[in-house]
Amino acid sequence: MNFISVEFFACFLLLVIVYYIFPKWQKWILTLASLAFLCTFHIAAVFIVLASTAITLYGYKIKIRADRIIAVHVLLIMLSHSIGLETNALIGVAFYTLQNIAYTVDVKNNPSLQNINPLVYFLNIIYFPKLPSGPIAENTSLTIELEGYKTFKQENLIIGCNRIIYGLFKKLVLSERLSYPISAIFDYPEIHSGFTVSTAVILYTFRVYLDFSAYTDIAIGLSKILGIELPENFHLPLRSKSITEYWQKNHITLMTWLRKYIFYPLSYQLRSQGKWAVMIALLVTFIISAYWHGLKITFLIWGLLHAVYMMLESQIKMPSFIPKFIKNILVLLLLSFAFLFFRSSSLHNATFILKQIFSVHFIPENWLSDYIAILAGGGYFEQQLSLSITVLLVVGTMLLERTLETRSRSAQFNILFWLALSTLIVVFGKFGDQNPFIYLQF
Amino acid sequence: MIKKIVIYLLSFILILFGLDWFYEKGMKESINLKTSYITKGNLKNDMLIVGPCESMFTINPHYLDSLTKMHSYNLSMRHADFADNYLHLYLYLKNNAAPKTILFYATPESFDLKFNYFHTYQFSPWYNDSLVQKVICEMDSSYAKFAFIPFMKYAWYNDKSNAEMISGWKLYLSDEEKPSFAEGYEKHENTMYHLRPDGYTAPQKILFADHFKVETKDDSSFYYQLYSNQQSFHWNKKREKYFREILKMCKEKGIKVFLYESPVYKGDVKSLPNRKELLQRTANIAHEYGIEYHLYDQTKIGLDKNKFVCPLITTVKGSKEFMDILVKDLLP
Repeated sequence: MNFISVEFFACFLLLVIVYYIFPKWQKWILTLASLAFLCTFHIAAVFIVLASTAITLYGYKIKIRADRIIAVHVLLIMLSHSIGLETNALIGVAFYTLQNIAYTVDVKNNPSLQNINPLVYFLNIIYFPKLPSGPIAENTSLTIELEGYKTFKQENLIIGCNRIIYGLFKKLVLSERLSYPISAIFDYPEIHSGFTVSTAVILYTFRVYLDFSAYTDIAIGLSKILGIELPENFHLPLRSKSITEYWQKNHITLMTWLRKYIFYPLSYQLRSQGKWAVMIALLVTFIISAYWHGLKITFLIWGLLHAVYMMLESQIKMPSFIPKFIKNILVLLLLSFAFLFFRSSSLHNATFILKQIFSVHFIPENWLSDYIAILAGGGYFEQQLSLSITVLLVVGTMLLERTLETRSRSAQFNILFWLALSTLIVVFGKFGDQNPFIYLQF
Repeated sequence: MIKKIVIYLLSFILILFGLDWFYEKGMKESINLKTSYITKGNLKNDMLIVGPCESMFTINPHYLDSLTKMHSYNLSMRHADFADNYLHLYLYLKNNAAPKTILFYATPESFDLKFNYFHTYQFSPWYNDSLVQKVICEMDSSYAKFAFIPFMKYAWYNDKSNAEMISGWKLYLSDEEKPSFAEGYEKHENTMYHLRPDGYTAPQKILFADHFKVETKDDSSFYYQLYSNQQSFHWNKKREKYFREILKMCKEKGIKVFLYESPVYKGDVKSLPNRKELLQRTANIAHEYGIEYHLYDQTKIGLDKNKFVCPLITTVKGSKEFMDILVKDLLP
């Protein structure tokens, strides 16, 4: 079931009512709701998540070695990469597998953790707001969140709704409007000028952020209404002045997981190697991050590029006289260069795009027909108007992002914020056939 | 807090109603949209040309009128399917005097869902009309599900309705009464569509790239290939339904229907395996309503690729030659 469908919100409203009327049954209600949500994707998804969680919970008790349990989870991710997620049977696998691996490692280090309530742990894994694409919650903190009874709080409702409306605006208006020019150019890179292709690559960097953060806002908002805190996943990452800062503010929960379970243990293991320890740990961390996204060579290059960026940053300090906005633009360009590989369907496709960017025909011969009309999908007034609106909305949102973020996380109901966003959604949003959230494919 | 929420809800509902009025007025004034132009009323035409882009690019009412001494209007729409044609014709007949004849275009691909579609947004301002609503409910059920909410009927395809609304208000404020294409006909320039009279600037390199092969002809003009080799058509029941509805409506109103298919470029249609079968099926349905299906696929025009812009659309020169032939069958 799509997060942004009327059916979903109708079911959610019903759930909230039942959830607060029967506080003693909250865990069961959430578990059943999450299972029902999972079933809307694929019935097999329920069995896969059950099996995966059962191995995690009981593997240790029946003396299966932790590394073997982890291997099973890694194989599950590999399976999802090789068969693809089109069938939806493996929905959210990359996300809940990380939680299961984390639990296995934690139990190995601290066996007392295995006394966890199985129902709470299972709910922790399948909890529907975060199941499809995170945020990846730390097992201990989410388990505590899920324990106990929640009482209805008006403050939670307001914060939750603020987050949801902001998420819907980012998805239906910004991400959806950006999707056309990007795919039009990525699908036929060989026929466009370098400047046109570069624009698409930069737009994609914005789209990934807007789309994924929109999903996260909705997930956190839904959960907040149920009185359960999910961790934040973004903190204005596109305003970063360095790649290191970017990774502290982007997909925070994945990075936290990677730091805790890969980077720190590996750096510690390799500590005898001196400064190389950090370098190798960085490289391995980003290779694993790339592998987590998919088995394609393009993801690997994306990961390697980020590892290289981080290594260079750790060695070379950017001169302080460079203005902040220049650093910000430089970071955006570096991110876009890496995202070029992330978005490309194949290495061949990426090579073509690179060739175009660095070709002699960088500047379009005719700006109207070779640039504007291509990004707009045609040269009619309606298409050019639509492109202009998209540019205005994206630029406007990015400029006002800090204020919008603050409003969306506030416990106050701001009439102007709500009127502005809901009007923009109905006037400029995409209804009907929306693209699925980008991170649903992982 | 409750007070704030109530104020918001009331304001938002007010905004929705305001937008609904503003868009309805704007779109109804956007006379470049054929639905808006024909619903203004007072059009008097002896003949209407109904069909998709093939007939819109092929039949020039100005030239046809010079041969027939009648007055005609081209009601065809780019990429329009039969349901689209049906509603256009319905709205025309509802608001204007009925013509004597309808020149109705049909080709095998008209019955295949791969080609043409229903343009819901063009009928949004007339959604309250029961027949329009019934057709939209059938053709675009997801749209119809939300169209009862104020403004949603414009919001659903806002990329289209935003532009039409602005264009409509601009035309209204400038007192413009004639659309860009006064007779409903658009000349196919047989170039890459650059800077057409309506201000269209085509993307130079991506045009049709996703489904059409573009080739350069001897006279250096362009030719778009519509079909892949051995492509067969799939008959769609809903298309058939609205094809019949058009014939039925004309019969009820006592309008003569001249059903036809304009010349096709033989070199490219001969490899289509079930073309003949579908032509026959179309002819059989027409026959049920006492209508003959006129085919022009054996004319000389069909042998000369330079007279085509694609397998189904003739150039301005080719169209003129076709109309010279057509008029002999059309006039009693």
